[in-house]
Amino acid sequence: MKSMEHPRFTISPFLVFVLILTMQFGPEYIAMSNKPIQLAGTDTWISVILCGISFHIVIWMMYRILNRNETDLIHIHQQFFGKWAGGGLNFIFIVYFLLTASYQIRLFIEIIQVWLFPDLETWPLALALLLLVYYIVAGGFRVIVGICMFSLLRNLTLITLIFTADYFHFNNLSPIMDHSLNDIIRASKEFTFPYLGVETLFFCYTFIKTPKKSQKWAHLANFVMILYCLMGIFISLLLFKSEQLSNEIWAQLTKYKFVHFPFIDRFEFIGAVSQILWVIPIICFCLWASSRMFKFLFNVKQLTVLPILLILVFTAVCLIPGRSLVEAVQIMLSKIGFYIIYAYIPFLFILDIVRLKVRRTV
Amino acid sequence: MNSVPRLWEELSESSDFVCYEHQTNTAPFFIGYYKSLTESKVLHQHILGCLSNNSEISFEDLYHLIPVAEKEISFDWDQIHNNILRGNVAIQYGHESHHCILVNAAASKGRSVTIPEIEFTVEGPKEAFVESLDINLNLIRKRVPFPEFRIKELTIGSISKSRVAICYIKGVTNEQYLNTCIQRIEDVQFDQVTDNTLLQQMIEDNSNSIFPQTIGTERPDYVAWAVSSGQICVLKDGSPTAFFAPVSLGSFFITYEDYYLPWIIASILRLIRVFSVLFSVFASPLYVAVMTYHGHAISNVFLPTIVSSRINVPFPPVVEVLIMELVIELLREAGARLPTKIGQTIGIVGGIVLGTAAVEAALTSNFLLIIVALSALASFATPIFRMSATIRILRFPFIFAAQLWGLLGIFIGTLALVAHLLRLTSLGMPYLVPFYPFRTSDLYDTVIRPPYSKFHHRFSFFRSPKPVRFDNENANAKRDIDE
Amino acid sequence: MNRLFFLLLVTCFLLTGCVKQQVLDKVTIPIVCAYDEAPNDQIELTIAAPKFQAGKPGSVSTILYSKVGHTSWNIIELMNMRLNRPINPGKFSVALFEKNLAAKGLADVLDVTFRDAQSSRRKYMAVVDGKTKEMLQANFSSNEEKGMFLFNLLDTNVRTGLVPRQNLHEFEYSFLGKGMDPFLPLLKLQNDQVVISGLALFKDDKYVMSLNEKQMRVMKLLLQNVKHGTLEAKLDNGSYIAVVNVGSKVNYLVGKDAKSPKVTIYLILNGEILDSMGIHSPKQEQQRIKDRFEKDLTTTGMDLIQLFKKEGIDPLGLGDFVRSKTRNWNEEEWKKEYRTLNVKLNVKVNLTETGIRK
Repeated sequence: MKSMEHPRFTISPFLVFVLILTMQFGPEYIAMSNKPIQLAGTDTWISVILCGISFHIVIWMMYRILNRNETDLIHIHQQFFGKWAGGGLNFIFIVYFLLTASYQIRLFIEIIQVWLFPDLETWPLALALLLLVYYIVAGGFRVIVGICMFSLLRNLTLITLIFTADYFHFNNLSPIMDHSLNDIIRASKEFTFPYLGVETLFFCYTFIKTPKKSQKWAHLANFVMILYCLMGIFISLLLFKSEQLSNEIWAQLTKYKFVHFPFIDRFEFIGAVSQILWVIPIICFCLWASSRMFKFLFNVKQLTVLPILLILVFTAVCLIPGRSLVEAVQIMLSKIGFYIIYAYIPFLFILDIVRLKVRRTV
Repeated sequence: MNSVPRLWEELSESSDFVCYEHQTNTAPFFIGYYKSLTESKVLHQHILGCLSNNSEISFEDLYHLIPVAEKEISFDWDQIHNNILRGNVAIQYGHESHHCILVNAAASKGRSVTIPEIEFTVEGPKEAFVESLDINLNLIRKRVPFPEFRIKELTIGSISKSRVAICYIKGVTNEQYLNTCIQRIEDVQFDQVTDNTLLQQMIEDNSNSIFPQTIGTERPDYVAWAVSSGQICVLKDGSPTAFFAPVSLGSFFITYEDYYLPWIIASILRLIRVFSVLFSVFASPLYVAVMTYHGHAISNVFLPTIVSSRINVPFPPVVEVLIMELVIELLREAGARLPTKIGQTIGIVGGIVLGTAAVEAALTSNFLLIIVALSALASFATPIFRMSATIRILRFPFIFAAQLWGLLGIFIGTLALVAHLLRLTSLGMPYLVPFYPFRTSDLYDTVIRPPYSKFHHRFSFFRSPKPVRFDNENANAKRDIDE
Repeated sequence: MNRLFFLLLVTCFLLTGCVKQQVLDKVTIPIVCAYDEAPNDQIELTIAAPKFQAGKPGSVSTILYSKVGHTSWNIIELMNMRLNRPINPGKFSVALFEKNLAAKGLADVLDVTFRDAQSSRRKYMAVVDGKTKEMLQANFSSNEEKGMFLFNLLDTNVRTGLVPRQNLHEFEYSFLGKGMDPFLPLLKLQNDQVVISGLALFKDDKYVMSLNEKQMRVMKLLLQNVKHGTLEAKLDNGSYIAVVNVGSKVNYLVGKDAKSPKVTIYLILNGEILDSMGIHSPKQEQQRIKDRFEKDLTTTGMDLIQLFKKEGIDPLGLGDFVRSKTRNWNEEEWKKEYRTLNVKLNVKVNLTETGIRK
């Protein structure tokens, strides 16, 4: 079965790079370096690369599954498991995406509350962000990818990290391989959460103009993501002692405290606010994907489901009060994500091969 | 019942309609025309002269004898009616006849071609469109003496009955865009279309958007360029501006003079223009955000300057900014309504006297005065008037957003703006091309204007059937030293 | 109905959505804060609030406020009761500590600045010999705001002088990092003038001893590559000579020497003779001057290292350096080894130019 969208709604394969990169490179990177560095210390960069390579393999598996069936995961589920079981699996993904969206919004609001406005209520900002998300998602998939493209401007804030070079201590990188393999692998497990986001490929596959050509772009996106993570980790290692990092919550934002220009003395405000560029594309995609799944599950219009989902996310965001629960949601999401990436996708991959073999023998 | 004699009766109710009976030996000729629309010279010399010289003339002979090229014999009541309203003289032979000779004697009174006033350039031709469609078409046709250049004429407006000309080059313009454009103009439901700008607003994709989706210009050379790049140009009789579509956001920051200057200079000017737009939109909102919320983000060295300039101002920053922005808008509006010389005086009085007095009275900080004046100046650097109006208005939502949440408000506002731009289309073409959807091959002639050898293909998003402008192979050949 | 609901939502939004404004001219923005010891484990916090004058950015006066209390945040709250414009603590750029307070440990006092999202990590810190309050009361800057003056004083001397850089981040770095100890510049009030008189050395976060200004210069040369500063030496014939440093390089090498590690420090200094009091043809004397400088630097450096070893402090970060070269480095073992560590200092001075005269 081949199901592709009307060419008017499709994106060129090159934009898969932009999309996957923005989906992977989420706001969780600002806190990513704390835990792994406690585990693997100077060797954390090895864990980054290990985890990145495992994601390359996952992307390859995903493309094998998608290219063989030539449709997106929503339909694959229904083909593989029938209407009801497939629908149930789709529903799990809806919950996962909605939870991710809520987490991202809450995380962003938390950052704003801590770094800029401690007295800001959660709900007005959540409302404003969700209205923005509604406006973007209502514009369709191409507008979402456009926002992803625009969000690449965030690299400007990353470039300013050059100014931290004054404080680098290169001693912190050696000795190499001072930690056991076990530590390194445990640290690389911590990295699955920042790397998450490739699963979005399952849902936008039919919107790619020549999907088979897009694989190299997806791999490139993951490769660039490895570079971003390496950059984050290296700067963390060079700037801080691991004892300092254990006290920090958002090490990446603290790094911006070292940046200053003749005009602007503090860059961390801009750094904290610019997190919106990391957050908004992901929320938009999550809501788009989940409303699209709703459309196929219950045969309703996407535009009617979208406000309902937004209200759901809004309530969820308002129900997360502070740091401890944000952390709890993060741990839960990273667990779900871990199993999706390392258990569910390989399972689908094997199932797909088996199905193909069975069909051939029949 | 719609016979010609009835027409005479109906039309005679208007006092500028003349129905003149010319008695000949055979049968009387009825000559009907609007005094206010016809050229008396044509009427007297060619038509009446013809009739009085040949007293025994038949209808067909008369038709051949009248020394005017634009004439026809018509039976159609509607056509006769319309043509009389366009300045034709109708000649009927005998009482009962349903035939009419229609002779074009339309008076073309209007100003002659002058130099462009809004889009004046130092280099390049100095002709601007005038109100007459025929003169305007002549100005374009002179620049595009190309057989495939087509003009399609339509009539819109139930009262105004305006002639609208759609110009394009067949085989260069994409048929789909052309059909959309024609369809939209045909669908216009409006009685009095006085100017092209009305038509512009009526056919735009999103009429609720603050951004213009077509470019209006008074320069025939710009129209000739647009048409040859594959765009569609629309002119209207009685309007000195032509507009063309589809356009992208980037083309609003192009003055046609860019093409007359060497490419490096033109590119730098364009970059300055883009920067000035950003400055104009974001400068005063940033002032509000920094002053209200992020004061300690300012560098130590800068702090005394800013604080001491504002220390006695009684208003919060946002009120201060709004007052100053409104003052500037007022000055501009007052200056625009007055003749040039008085307008200049207003500018000086407002700019210098008011500004200094406001600072001395501690109603505003001189730092803000500089920002507001600069951003007003910067907004005028945009060549298209509608776009510069958009940019001036655009900063107000940002000022309010900055007052609410400081830098965060500005960021949310920017994202909303980008989302809006992403959703906009012009005749169905995405508004942000070539940046999104991203095409590297179309990046030429956007923020910089490269040398003309790089212009060898048309913008791919115009989807022209003939994407290549000229053959570029020879230009690319590199030569060695001393070769 | 729909409109009414929308209106209600917008009103609600604007009422609760607004956040606390900090209009720049409606808050007090102190640049410097000073901590003194007070009885009963309290601290005395002094801030210098700048007072701006309308239209005259050049003349800013300073008003001092000080208050005793247990936590600095509470003290600021109490100070607000005396101020017409509340304090915005986000712009503190210099923190001064009394020597006695520093001897008790700075970690507790500093915790607040690490926790506060608005505080800068590039904040300069200094230990004051004497009461900080008295120092701020002195009229040491003629027309500049006192905080700005102190900030510029420390900033320029760190950038273009031989004062080793140590700001809030670096203090924490060497305090929390294993195998290294922090240090801070030491300020002193002399005839109503603030002077950087040397370096205050810490063991963990507690002040232990201080170095004089000459030792501080050598210390900076040993810490990092420097491209500025001047060194002076006395020649055998009793005349003095000054050399401008145009680029020094320092290199640490670890050699395994039987069991314990051995650290060798190589210091290469390129200098230009600019002030040769009484020596008319320094070119012929070059070798002698060079030897003199090398000897001078080596003895001062070695003295410093001996001092550090004796006190058990490690401001040079030798421990951290050895850690980066050894696997399974252990802090406890290192501390035992440190007192008997074999450290060598090799100094090489190149005199390249002699100004525009022979």
